[in-house]
Amino acid sequence: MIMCRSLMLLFIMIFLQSCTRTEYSGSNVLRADIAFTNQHLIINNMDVIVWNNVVITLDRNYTYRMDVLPRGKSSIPYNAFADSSHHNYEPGLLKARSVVIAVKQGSDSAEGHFKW
Amino acid sequence: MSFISRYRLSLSAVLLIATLVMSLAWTNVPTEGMAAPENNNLSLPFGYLNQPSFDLNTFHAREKEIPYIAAPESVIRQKKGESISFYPINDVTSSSESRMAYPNIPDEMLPGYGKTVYFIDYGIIRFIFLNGSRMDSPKEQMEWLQQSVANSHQNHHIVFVNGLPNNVEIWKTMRDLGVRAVIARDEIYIPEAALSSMPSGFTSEVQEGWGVWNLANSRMVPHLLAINGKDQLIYLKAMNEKGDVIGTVEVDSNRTMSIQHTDQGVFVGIQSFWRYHAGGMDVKMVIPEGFDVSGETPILSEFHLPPEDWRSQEYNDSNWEIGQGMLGVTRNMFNERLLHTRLSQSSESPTYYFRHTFVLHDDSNQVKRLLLHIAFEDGFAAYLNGEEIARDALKTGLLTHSTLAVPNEFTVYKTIDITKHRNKLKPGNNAIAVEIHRSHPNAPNLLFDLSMSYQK
Repeated sequence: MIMCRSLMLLFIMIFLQSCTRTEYSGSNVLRADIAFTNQHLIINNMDVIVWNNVVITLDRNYTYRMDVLPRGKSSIPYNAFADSSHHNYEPGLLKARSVVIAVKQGSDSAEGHFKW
Repeated sequence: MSFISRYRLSLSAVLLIATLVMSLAWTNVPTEGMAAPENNNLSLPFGYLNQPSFDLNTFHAREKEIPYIAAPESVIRQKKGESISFYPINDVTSSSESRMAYPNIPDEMLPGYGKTVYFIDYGIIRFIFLNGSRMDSPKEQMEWLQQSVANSHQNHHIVFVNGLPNNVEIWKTMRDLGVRAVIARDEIYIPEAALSSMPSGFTSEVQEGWGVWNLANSRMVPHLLAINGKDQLIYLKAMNEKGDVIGTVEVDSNRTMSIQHTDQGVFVGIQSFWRYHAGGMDVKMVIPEGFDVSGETPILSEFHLPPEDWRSQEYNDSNWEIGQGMLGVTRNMFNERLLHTRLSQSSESPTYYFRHTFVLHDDSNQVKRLLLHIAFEDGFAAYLNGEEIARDALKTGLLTHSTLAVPNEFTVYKTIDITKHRNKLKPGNNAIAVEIHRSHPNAPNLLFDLSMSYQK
């Protein structure tokens, strides 16, 4: 019985862990931290390098491009994000549901990704 | 009687509250501004206009704060002498008959010149009007000018003349007399040694020791020049028709003395006027070649920024707003009283950019010590002629308008020794540029003022 419960707990932990972050195969994981305000997305670049050619995607459709994103914290207003029809992003009650950061020259001069 | 006895306690409370409210009303509690005593030197400004034509009645209806005005005589639409608030500057349309019509102007102050050469005293300034059409033989007017300044009890002297005197001796005489400004049509000549705040478009050394601010070269054509004096300072503010200040010159007579007779002084005073702009994509910034964006490598060589970079000495900031330090926004009641210029909270960016230009008259090698005194919240980076000279509460390396600072309390005039950067000073025009970053996009506080002093 105890063995069975332990296995169930282990499965649940593995399941939760897999939900929190999905790594892109073949690319580096960016050391990043994100936070939300009513109007802004705050990104903390915790890598030792500056990210180049950065594309940030909110809720799969709304993107914002930056040539460089320095180390430390940066804030980007939600209305800077736009979809392919040039509609600006308007956060729902629960703010953004997903954030993807993709850089072309991250750690070790390779592609890098961060997904939340 | 029974009513008073019954409600004695309530009535006492009402009486007490009424007394407190009335005493508060009589106290005249200051609601804004600096906690300094009122200075009686401040007066309503004197105006100067050089428009194609204007109507005095319309002008006075709009500009109630400017009781007196000077302008070339040809630009006024009214009948000559109709308004005693108007002081004409002699020009090509002036005739001896028309000039006799002004009852408010003294006659024959300089014999033979009628009402074309005269002075008036207003506040602490003596405004001196010369006849530009007779400057080809200026001896009489220069001798009269010397007497007028020598006998004056005013702190400052400003000359109006319609037509630029090209004679070198005239400029030397006016400089030696301590004339603070010469206003000739759209051009305002200032002795550079006394210049403590310089606008964009200022050109150095057009005459020996004199620089010129040409109002006609401004991106926004000014509607009015307002002249005001306070103690040893004169402010000349160019304003547009909405009353917005689009350029300011600050002339400090003490500054002339400090540069000539002491070995220390200031390039930028506290509470100086600054150009400012909210951070955003419209303010250009380039990453110079060789610059380590991570900040891991120390900066060992100079970077030459292009003129379109906002930190460059050559950057055109004439469309930026102007405000006097301390600039910013805060919810702190005490810090709020330090503010001279309130900035709006931008949701686009947590950053504000500031620029100020000043003139160095000597070789930078004569500067033995250079100090920066900065008040800021939360983080700042400062640049002298495009080269970084100081930074606090910000990570090393590249900064953008999106960068957030490390959370920080308000720092009041922290002194930083920047002597190692004195080689970045240049003879002539210099520019100091500062970026202030909030620690959070919704942070309620952003404050900035800066002074730069030197020792020789």
